[in-house]
Amino acid sequence: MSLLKKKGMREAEMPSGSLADIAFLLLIFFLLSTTIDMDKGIGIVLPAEGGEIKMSSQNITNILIDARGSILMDDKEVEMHEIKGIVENLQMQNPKMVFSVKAHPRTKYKVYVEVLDQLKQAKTRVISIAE
Amino acid sequence: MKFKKKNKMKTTIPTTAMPDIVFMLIFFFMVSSVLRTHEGLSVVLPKAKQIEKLESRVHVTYIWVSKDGMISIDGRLYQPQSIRNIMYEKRTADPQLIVSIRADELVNMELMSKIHKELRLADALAVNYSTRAM
Repeated sequence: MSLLKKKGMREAEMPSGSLADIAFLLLIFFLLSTTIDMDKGIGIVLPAEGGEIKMSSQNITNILIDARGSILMDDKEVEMHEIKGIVENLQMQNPKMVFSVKAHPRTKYKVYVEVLDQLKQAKTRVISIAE
Repeated sequence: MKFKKKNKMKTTIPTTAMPDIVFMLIFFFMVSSVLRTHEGLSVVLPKAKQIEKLESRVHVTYIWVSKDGMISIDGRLYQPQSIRNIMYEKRTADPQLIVSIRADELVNMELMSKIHKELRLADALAVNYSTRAM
């Protein structure tokens, strides 16, 4: 039995070389996991108060949303998923086109965000929010 | 006895690094849990596809709007008409301010228009509608 114990003592060595690797791995993992948690959303710039700019009506497309969530685009009723395509077409015809979104007071915020999302998907540069 | 000899060949697991790792984990969880807490109301954010990340958290102020029309900024409830003063102060303190609106998807646009108007009066024009990824 004494022979066996001696053998055991000989191998009691601590490999500490990989400790740095483990620490770095953890560090990288935590760095990544904290940046992923950032807030996401639809960015927009509101018009300045009193700074109304007059534009020719040719360059404006009005998008109206009613209380039930139906969408009217230049006096034509459209479906939500159609907006992207129509907007892309309009932008090709007229690159200066401004899209003005106007919502009924009882429209749900959800519908409004969906419309903005469609506009953003169509790579619209100028979105105006009418009050 | 032959079997026992073989067993002794096994290396022991190093345990000196354990406390270091555990401490690191503890520190991380402490820090991240503080960062993550949003003082706000319970809201169901609307869904959107084309979303962008907010660049930094330093210049961001949150406005929480719940579906029953309550507005919360920095953990306190406010009336819509008092937003302009709060935002004006924040805006003068930090010209790069971005206002992140975390509103419930069932909020009426009437209230949102009010908030927009207040933000315009406060000259806090950079707005981000907080959404969920689809």
